[in-house]
Amino acid sequence: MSSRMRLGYFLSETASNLRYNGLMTLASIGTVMVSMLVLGVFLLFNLNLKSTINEVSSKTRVCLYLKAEASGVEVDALKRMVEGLDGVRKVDYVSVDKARERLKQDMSGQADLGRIVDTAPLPASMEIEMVDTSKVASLTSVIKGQPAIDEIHYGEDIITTLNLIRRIVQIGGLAAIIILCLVTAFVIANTIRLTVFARRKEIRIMQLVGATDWFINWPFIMEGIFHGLAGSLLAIGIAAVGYTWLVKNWPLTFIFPLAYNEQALLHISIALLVGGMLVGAFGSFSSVRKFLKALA
Amino acid sequence: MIAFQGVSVVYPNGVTALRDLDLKIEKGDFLFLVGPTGSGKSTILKLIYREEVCTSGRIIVAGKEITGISRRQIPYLRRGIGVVFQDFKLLPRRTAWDNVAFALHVIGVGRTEVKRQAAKALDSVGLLHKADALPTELSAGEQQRVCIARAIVNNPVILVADEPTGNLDPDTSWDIVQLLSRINVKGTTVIMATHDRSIVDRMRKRVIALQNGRLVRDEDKGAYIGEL
Repeated sequence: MSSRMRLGYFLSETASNLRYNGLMTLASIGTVMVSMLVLGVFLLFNLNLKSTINEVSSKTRVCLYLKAEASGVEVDALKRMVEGLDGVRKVDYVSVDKARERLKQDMSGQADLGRIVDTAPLPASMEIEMVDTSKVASLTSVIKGQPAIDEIHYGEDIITTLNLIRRIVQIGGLAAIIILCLVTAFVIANTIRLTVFARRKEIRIMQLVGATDWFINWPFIMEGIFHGLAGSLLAIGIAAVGYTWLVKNWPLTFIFPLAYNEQALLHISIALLVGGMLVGAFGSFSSVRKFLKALA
Repeated sequence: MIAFQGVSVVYPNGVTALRDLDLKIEKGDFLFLVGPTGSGKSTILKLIYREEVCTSGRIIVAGKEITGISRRQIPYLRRGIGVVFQDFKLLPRRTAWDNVAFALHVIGVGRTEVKRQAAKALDSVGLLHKADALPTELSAGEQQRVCIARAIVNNPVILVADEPTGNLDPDTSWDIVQLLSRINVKGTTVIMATHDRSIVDRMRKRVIALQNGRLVRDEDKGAYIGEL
């Protein structure tokens, strides 16, 4: 039989499998849909958490307060050194005058304070913008002993917390994804088991007339893949509509806007699609294989 | 064609189905397996198409030792063996034609060839005119003939029949055996397990009698009950 005809046979067998237990097919697709939807929500949450961390990170600056007696040469040397360090995006020098100017701006409208600002002893500083906030600790340890530096300030707590959340989400997310996929595969395996059971007489005859396991397997595996495909397509559709609505109606008062990165969303869709199909194939394969082994 | 050498089958629960059986079946033989229920007739048939595996001994089918073959080789062994059952095992939702064609489809035979061979097989059992009938629309004898058509559609060298007349009236039974005999004349080795005394006695073919898993009689032109 040519491979085209074989494919035709498999497709028609798969279609008749799906027809035979329509209700179970719907239940199975529904389960895949729910699982993939949960997976999708998780991935979207992860995407937003990542973009939030990036946002916070890019706004987190390390501030070096300089000693009043530090010379221009020392300050220049320090600036060049910091600029050369790993994870640093930008270094800004803030002179005493500039610092005073800023403070004035911040306090504008509070007229009485203007005079205090003029006389306040503000230090000159250097503001470091980081590319990668996880490098802050190593950065501070390197520059700690520099003679021009009086004090080092940075949002230690926020950065540590954010990185901790990121770690927890990554590990927890991975565990959740694995568990979800296993549960989904289990549900599909059960549905396919019903199909297999409904067609056990045919399978029996196929075995007796000499059909190979591979030949018997394919229509069922394709059925599982179809469940996965249909379920994840539905999940993608629901997630897309829901997320678009959320993005449009997201209150602007929130600190960070929802991430709407088309490429990332495409990746999530592909992940759901491939995930659903793999889970479907895996579920049905394990089910049919068990059955064939028991029979032969 | 088929050889059993010192074959024993003991089930995990300790029941012995066959004891040290030696048996040789030549190509083109027509052979009846007789004996009471549980004597080991079905076990012999199942060993031939490797539905069961022997506990000890050697089994050779079509010149090939099948005792130690792998799972993957079993389908290819079965393509050379047609099997007929007492309960027909037809697919209820498929027509007579589909039931026969199915056996070819699932071993990867092309569509034109399926058409040709299915027509030939149904014709040889005299049911080409009922190709479109569902099993429920056929009589028991006709259903058994569809089952035989399915068993021979792939031109097997061996045809194994496990009490094929068990559900049929005497006249229909005789028709079925005549059909099997015609298939045998064309060169297929036929092995039939049966309780049907009149058929065995009328056919006067080789008879192998079993009792408690032992071969107790092997006669060339035998009867259901041994002549003293």
